[in-house]
Amino acid sequence: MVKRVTIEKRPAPLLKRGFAYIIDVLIIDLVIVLPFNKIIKNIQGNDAGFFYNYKFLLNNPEKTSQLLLISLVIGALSLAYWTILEFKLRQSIGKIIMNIKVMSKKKNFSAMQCFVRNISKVITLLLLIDIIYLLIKRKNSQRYFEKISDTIVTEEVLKT
Amino acid sequence: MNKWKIVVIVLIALGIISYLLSFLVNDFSTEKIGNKIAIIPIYGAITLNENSNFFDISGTSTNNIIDALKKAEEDPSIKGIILEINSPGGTVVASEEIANAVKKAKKPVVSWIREEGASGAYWIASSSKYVVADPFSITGSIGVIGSYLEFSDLMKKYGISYEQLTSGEYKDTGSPFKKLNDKEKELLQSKINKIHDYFVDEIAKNRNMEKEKVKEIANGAFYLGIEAKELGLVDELGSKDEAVNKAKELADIKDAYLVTYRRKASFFDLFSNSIAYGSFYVGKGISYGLNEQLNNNNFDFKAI
Repeated sequence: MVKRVTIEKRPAPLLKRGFAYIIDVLIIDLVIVLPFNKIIKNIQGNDAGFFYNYKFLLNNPEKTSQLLLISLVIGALSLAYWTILEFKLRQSIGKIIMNIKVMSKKKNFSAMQCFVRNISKVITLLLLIDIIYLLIKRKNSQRYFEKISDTIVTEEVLKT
Repeated sequence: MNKWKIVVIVLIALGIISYLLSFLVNDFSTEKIGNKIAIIPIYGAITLNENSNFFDISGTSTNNIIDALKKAEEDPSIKGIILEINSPGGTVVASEEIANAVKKAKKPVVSWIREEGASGAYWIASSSKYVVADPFSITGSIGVIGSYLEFSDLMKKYGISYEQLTSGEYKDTGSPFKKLNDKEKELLQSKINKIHDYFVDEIAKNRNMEKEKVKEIANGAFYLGIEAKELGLVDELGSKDEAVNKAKELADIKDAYLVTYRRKASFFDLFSNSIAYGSFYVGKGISYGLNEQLNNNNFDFKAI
């Protein structure tokens, strides 16, 4: 007897998405952030914890601009990582490992959509808005920036 | 193209770009930031090892200070070092190790004594190129203490006897469970005198003073900053500004950013310190002595 198998696409569970994000952040840390570590330590002197560093930056505004420049470079490269991979493959490394994909709700899938949906990942405040939106509107399974970029993260499930 | 091929190409490309940009940013940072002066704090009792005791808040361990000095020496942007001292002293070996590391430093080291820079802490300060002290700070106190708690009368009261078999006459000298006899006292006093003599010798060399003059003032008494200046134990009276200006002058730089080297405080450190500070100062003498005795179960020399 031949069984008919269909592939069903459904919104990816939050846990899978969370793990995919953590994997991506670790890879970004290794590939993009690592070369800047020495410079950051050189600017701060030594890493003595969040509160000390915060106070240090308040007292040394000229160094804030140095760190801001580094943050901008790291942010831009991280954004490029997600945008390029998701545009080319519909998946970042984290998503490949967790077996989830980005889909466009429109007919075409553009690089601009990838750029917009990922911009919140490199700006903490926007990421916070994104996560709050996602938790409030759980039914949609979309972050705010996914909604405005008309994209959704899905997983494929085999159904017999 | 294969999915993983694309992933690898993207990662390599981003890695190379990131590496190249880090060079550009580094040049920009160095140019903008320029010279730095490292501030290394020496707070509290100076000990050889970092204390892991929950209720012990001893401030500075030799390893931390020597590591910080090494880091400052290796960092090309650091042009001078300031030791921010607020310490009553510590063990002889710990103080000597730090003093030697300070002496060996190739970059100019300035000591800045705030409230207290006594005994072992003063030994360290004297090994730097220049000493700045607050006018009302406590400095000097050049002397050696050998102390421990002795429980023999208390044990007798409760009917506890102390039996120890030793192969040498002096093997159990300094045991808290028996009184010292005259010969043992003489032995320990001779060690203390030797350390004192070495201490005086070091201060005389470090401060370029005559040994006899140092001997006269090395009676264990502390001196206020203003008195220490008159006696030649410090070079200048002042605060952080004076220390920074001197460090800049010795390093031959006009401007410098200050970088403080601190030990990273864990949550456990913050929690234990907040509890321990109160009780430490209430029973400082008893608890500190007892703790040291219990930890080492040996006679202990302190440059305090």
